[in-house]
Amino acid sequence: MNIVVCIKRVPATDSRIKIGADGTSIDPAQIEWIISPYDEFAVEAALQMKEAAGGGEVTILTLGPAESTKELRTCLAMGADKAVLLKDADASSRDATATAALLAEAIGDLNADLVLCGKQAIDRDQGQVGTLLAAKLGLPCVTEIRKLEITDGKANVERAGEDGTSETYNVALPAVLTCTKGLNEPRYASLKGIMMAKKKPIDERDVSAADGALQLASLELPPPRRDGRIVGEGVEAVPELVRLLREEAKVL
Amino acid sequence: MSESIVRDLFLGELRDDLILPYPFLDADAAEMLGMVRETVSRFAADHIDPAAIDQAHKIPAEVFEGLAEIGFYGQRIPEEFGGLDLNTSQYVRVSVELARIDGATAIMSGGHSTIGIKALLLYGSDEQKARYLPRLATGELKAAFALSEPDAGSDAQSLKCTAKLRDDGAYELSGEKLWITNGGFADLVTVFVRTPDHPRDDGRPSISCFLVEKSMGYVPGKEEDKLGIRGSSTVPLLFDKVVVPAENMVGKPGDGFRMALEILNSGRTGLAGNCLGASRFLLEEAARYTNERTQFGQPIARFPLIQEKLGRMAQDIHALECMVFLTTGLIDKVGMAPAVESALCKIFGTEVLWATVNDAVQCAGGNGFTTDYPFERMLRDARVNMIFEGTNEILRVMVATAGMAEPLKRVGEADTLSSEYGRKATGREAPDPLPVPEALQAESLALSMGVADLAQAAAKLAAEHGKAIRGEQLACAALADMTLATYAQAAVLSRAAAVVDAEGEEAAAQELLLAKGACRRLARRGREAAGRLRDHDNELLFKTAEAVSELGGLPGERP
Repeated sequence: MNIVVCIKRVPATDSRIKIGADGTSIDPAQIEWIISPYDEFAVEAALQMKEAAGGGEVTILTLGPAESTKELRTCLAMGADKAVLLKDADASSRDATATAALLAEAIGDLNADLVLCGKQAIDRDQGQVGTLLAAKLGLPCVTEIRKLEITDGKANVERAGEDGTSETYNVALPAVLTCTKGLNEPRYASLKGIMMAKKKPIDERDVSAADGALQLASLELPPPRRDGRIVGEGVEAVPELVRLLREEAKVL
Repeated sequence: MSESIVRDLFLGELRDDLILPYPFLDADAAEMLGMVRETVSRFAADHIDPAAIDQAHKIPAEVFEGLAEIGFYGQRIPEEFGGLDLNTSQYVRVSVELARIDGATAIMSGGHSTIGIKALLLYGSDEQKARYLPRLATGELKAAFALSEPDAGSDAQSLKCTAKLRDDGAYELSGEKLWITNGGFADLVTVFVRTPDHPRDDGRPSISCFLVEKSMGYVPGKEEDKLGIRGSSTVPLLFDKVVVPAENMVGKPGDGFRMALEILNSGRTGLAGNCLGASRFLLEEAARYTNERTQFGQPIARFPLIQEKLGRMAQDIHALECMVFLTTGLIDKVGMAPAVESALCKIFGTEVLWATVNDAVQCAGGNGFTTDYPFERMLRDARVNMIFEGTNEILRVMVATAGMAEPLKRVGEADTLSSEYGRKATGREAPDPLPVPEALQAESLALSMGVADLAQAAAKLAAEHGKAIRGEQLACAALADMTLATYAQAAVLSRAAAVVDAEGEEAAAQELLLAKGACRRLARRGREAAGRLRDHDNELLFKTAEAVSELGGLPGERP
């Protein structure tokens, strides 16, 4: 089975984010980059399926700047077979439609039986690429899966439904599935895997896209947290505190 | 003997062919290291709890197993035996990452990869390697190194453990080894013993090296109850007529002591890397604490006496990093004998860590003294580094003795005064400054002056003491400190020059700031050491010490 996993290079969650000079991007200086954590569930799922089947091929695909080879290399070190980098210096400003179109075009050549994505990238948190990709490819899509099994050429997947229910679907392959927490525990790249990843191929392709339908107009940091306020001391302060919680903070 | 930066410093020479360019990892190796770092830090975040390890006095089994899973035990083992074949530059950088997290686990790992398997790697036969290395690479076997004995510490050559040749060709080992890191659980120990059946030329029993499996019957003693690195295993090993087959001897009979020294020499950059990792972590923790802790209405990080600490920690750690990676780069590229340079890395690393942890504890005030924060544990963990793998005292004498070999030869030669060396030795000429960017000219000149001071001091001491200089331990220590300062300055300038070349002066502003500060601090340290040769009260010290030894305490007590 050929499995394609789409990943994205994103800033580490503990990075101190600064807005770049253009006002619509993140200043890349001093940022540590990681594979978006939901994408790691997708990579792990692909590797487990390949191991269970005793064969097949796992291809990692990303749209990103040239530096994304680091994240691709990490996936290869985890055990993926090859990687494709759609090199795009402006990747971060592409909207989800443009991103999905570029990914879909690349997947067209890869003869995929299954496409896995994270449910969303943790930088923009829009959660659109997986579904748009399925639409572009004309494939069925289940989002936010937390269980996955392949039997008789079909994927049996489970996702959380409304009010704590569990939905289980049987999906004909090929399909696009987006992965969420609970699906598995992503492995670490072993030191041995890291050495072996050196010898695995990364296919780098220059891509360009027309401007998408969305243009990011501005990007702003959240306002700094306001200082705490001391409303009084002891029991006497309680009525005022309750009033403020109700009327100002509106949490009661 | 291959080339050495340090030996030439004693002659007033700055080997810019060895010092420049700074050996940064190439892009591929750097990317690989980034991945290794991520694996190690994620594994550690999930599985290594340094406070729990400290309290339990034990590294839990899941840490051992997890390290095996990520392939940690095979770092230095060739790929053909299932290892990763990391070179020294890469291996030490990985050590830095583990040591950030837990001192005990770092020592365990080093006990295996740095010294435990080294005799086999360097001197083992193909058959011995094939027999043991694959299982050592997976961590199925863990290794230890056994040289010290109750009466043979710094004076390792006085060891007494003995291997007698039996009629069947096997050897029978008897005696006691002490302070054996990993000894409690190791499956394969490199043991150094007397072999009276292979006498030296002077008739005394030679020293040979054996690989001894645990199943052959030695007995680990009780775990030492230690000040720090409490989770690591440190035990005596008791050998009571343990039968070891002849094919487990490593190298030739009688080669053991030379091998032991070379293993220790080659391993000291690993320990320096551990110190670098722990120091970097402490600086980050101190930075965070002093930013968050508010007194008198502002973060204490804004007070000059705290800034002094943060600044000097950063300068020292930066200098240490430059020195360690210059040295590992030389080991990998030139294949030079790293004995003296590695010893300097060990001295500097262990002392920078000690100063750093002391400053970090102080930055954290009362909290630094409690187990709620990592500082007190790291202070305890740091202390042993100045003691083991060659005490810093012994290593200072070793650095000075090695450096003095050439000056001792040359001062006696007739035409010395008129030679280039003569001009350096008498202070008439300083070495050409290292070619560095404009912004560091002053620091480069200061380094040349420091090297000139060292050459002059070495020549003077050689003339005064001749070969007896080895016994002048305080003078040796001063020489070693001058050497350390100049070698570190050279390393800092080397790196700064490379960064400015690659990125331009503007982008390298922080590098230059650190380099300037570190160089000035080191130059002052060198001048202070030179001053100790001229202006000291050693006689008063020695007399007082003699009185203390005789009276068993403070002399001249009055009510």
